[in-house]
Amino acid sequence: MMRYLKLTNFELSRFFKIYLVLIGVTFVMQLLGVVFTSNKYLSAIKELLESGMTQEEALKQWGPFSFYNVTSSFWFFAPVALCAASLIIYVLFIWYRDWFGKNTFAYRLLMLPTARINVYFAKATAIFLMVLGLISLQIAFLPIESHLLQSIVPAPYLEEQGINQMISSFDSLRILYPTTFIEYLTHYGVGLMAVLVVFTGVLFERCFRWKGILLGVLFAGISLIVFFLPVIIQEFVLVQFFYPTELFFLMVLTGLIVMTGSILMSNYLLNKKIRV
Amino acid sequence: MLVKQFWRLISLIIVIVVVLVTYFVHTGLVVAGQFPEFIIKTVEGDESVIKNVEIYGDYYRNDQYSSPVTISNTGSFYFAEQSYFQRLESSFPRNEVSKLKEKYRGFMRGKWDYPTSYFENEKFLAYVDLQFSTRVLQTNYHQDYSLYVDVLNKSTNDSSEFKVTIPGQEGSEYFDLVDVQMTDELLKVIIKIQSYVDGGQNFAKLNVYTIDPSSKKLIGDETIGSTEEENQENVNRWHNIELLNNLNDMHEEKNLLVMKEELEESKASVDENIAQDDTASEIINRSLYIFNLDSLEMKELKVSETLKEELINANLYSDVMISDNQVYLAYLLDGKLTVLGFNLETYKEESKVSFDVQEMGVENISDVTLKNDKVYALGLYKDNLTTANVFVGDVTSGKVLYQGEIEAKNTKDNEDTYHLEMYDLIVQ
Repeated sequence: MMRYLKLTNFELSRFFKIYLVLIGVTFVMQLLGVVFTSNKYLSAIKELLESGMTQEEALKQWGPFSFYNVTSSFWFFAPVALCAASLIIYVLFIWYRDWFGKNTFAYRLLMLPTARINVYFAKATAIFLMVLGLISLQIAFLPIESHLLQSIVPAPYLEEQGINQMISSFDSLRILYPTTFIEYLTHYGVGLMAVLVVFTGVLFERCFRWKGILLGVLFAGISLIVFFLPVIIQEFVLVQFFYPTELFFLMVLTGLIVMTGSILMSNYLLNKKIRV
Repeated sequence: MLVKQFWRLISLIIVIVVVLVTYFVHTGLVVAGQFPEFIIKTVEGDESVIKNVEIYGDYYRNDQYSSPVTISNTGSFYFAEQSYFQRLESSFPRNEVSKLKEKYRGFMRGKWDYPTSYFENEKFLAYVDLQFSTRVLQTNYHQDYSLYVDVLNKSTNDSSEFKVTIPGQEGSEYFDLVDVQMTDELLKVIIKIQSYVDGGQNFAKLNVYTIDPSSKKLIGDETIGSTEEENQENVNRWHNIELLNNLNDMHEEKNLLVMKEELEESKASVDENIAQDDTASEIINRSLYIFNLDSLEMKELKVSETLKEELINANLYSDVMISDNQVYLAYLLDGKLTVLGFNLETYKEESKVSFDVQEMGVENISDVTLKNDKVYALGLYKDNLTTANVFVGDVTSGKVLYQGEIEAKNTKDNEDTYHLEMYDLIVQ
C-alpha cells in the first residue's frame, strides 16, 4: 500500500509542474475571456446608446449579457481543450517517458521491491486524479469568474446565472458534469476503464513492439465488444428483452469484467513479457 | 513528515473531495428549489371528487429550463425530481402500462408502452402489436402488415405468443391499431385502414379481426364501417371514420362508438387555388353508430335534426364514457360544454346537460375527461397573472360538483416569469 501511494505521489510529482501550468493557463485565459467578451458587449451597447437609443432598445437589440456569452467564446473553451488534449496524450506518454527517458528509467521502476502491477495502478491513479482535479478546479473557477463578470457588466444588462446553468450552457462538456452522483460514477467509471484498456494496449506494444500494436488493438476491440455485449444482445439477439435498469447493471458488470481483464492481462505482461 | 512527502497527492484529493461534495449538495438544493409546488385548490364543492385526479403538464421557467410535471390535490411531482433509475425505467407520468410492467415483469419484456395495445380482465392480459415489413421491390410502395399477439393466462401464468398476417391488404396503404378487446376468450383487434385510390380519392374503414389465442389463428375479419362507396360519388367530398371510445382504457368494453364524418373541400381554398396538401376542409355531416363486438352488428344512434346541426359544428371530445347501458359524449359549442347521453338499448338520446365554460372558469379548455358519471374539464395555461381552473360536473343531473384552481405554493417573489401548460387530466 505504502509503495503504491509513494509511486502515485511520484507519478503526480513528475507531471505536477506542467499540471500547474495547465491550471494557471485555464484560469488566466478564462478571466481574460470574461474581460474581453464583456467589454466587447459593453462597447457595442455604448455605441447604440450614443446613436440615441434608449437602454431598453439597446437591450432588445443585443439581448442581456450572460455567462453563456463567456462559455461559448474561444477564451473559455480553448484552455479546456488544451487540458483535455494534454491529459489524453499523457495517458500514453506516462509509459513511454520511462522507456525513452535517460538512464533506462523503466528498468529501475520495474526492479523496485514491490509488485510490478503497482506501477500500473499508480500511473492509472495519477491520471484519474489529475482529470478529477481539473474538473473540480473548473467548477471552483466558475463562481470567481462570475463575480468578475458582475463587477464589469452593470446590472440591467446582466442576466444572472447559477452555477448549474453555467455548466449546462456549455453543452459539449455537459457529459463531464452530470447532475446526479450515480451518473458521475458511471461517466468516470467508463473513463477509468478506457484508461486501463489503453494502458494494457501500451504494455502489449512494450512487450512485443510492432506485433504488440496489433495485439493491443485487438485487445481494445475485444474489450469494447465485451463492454457493449448487453447492448448488442438487446439489439440483435433478444430484441428489447432487458429492462433499462437491467441493461444498466449488466453494463456495470461487463465494465467490471473489462477492467479486471485489463488488470490481469497487464499483470501478466509486466511480470512475464515486459522488455526494457 | 508524511504530509510533507505526499503534499501533492493530499492537496489534490482534498480539492477534489471538497469541490465535488459542495457541487453535488449545491446541485441537489438547486434542483429541489427550482420547481415550485403546485396543488389543485378547492374553490367550491367536495374535494373528494378530485382525490383520484392527476393533471399532466409542462412547467417553464424564464425560458431557461422546463420539466414535465403532474399535479394533484396533494401536491406536484416533477420529471426532474425522479431518481436516475426511475427516469430510466418508466414513462412519465406513469401510465397503466408502467403498472403492468411492475406486476407482470416477465410477460411485459420487450413490449411497447402504448395502452392501446393491451387488454386486461380478471383472467387474461393480452398484447397486440401491429408490425410491418416494407416490400422494396414492389412497383407500388407497399408494406406487409402482421399482428404480433401475446396472451397471458393470469391463473396459470402461461403465455402464448404468435404472429398472424393480416389478410386482404392489397390496395390498403395505412394501418393503425385502434383497440384490443376480448370476448369469450377470443381477441378482437380493431384496426383503422386508410387507402388511397388513383385519382386522389381516399377512403377509410375500421376492421375487426377475431383471433383465437388457443389455436393461434385469425378466424374472423369484419368491416365495421367503410367509406369506400360514399367516397366515389363526389370528388370534392370525402368521408372519414373514427372510433370515439377511450382507447387508453384496457378494460372490457363490448360497445364501440363509431363516428362517420363527411367532409368537403371548403370554397375558400378552391378559389385561392392553394396547394393540395393545404386544402382546408369543412365538416358537412356527422353520424354516430354503436358497434357491438358480440353480435358484430352496427346500429345508428337516433339524433334529431337540431342536435345533428349542433354535432356538426361542435368540437367533439373523443374518449366517450360507457356505463350502465348509457354512452356519454362531450362536446364544446358556443361557450357551452355539453354532455349527451344515449341509451344503448333504444339508441335514443336520453340526457343532455350543459355547463357554461366561462362561468366555470375554463374558457380555454385543454382537456375534457368523462369518467365515473362525471365530466372533468381542465384549463390550458397558468402563470402569475392567469389562473387555470379545474371543473367537475355530473353528467346526468347537470350539477356542478367541484370547482378548483391550480395554485402555486411558496413561489418566490421574483418568479414572475414562469408558466404552466396543461395537457391531460387523468382520473385513476
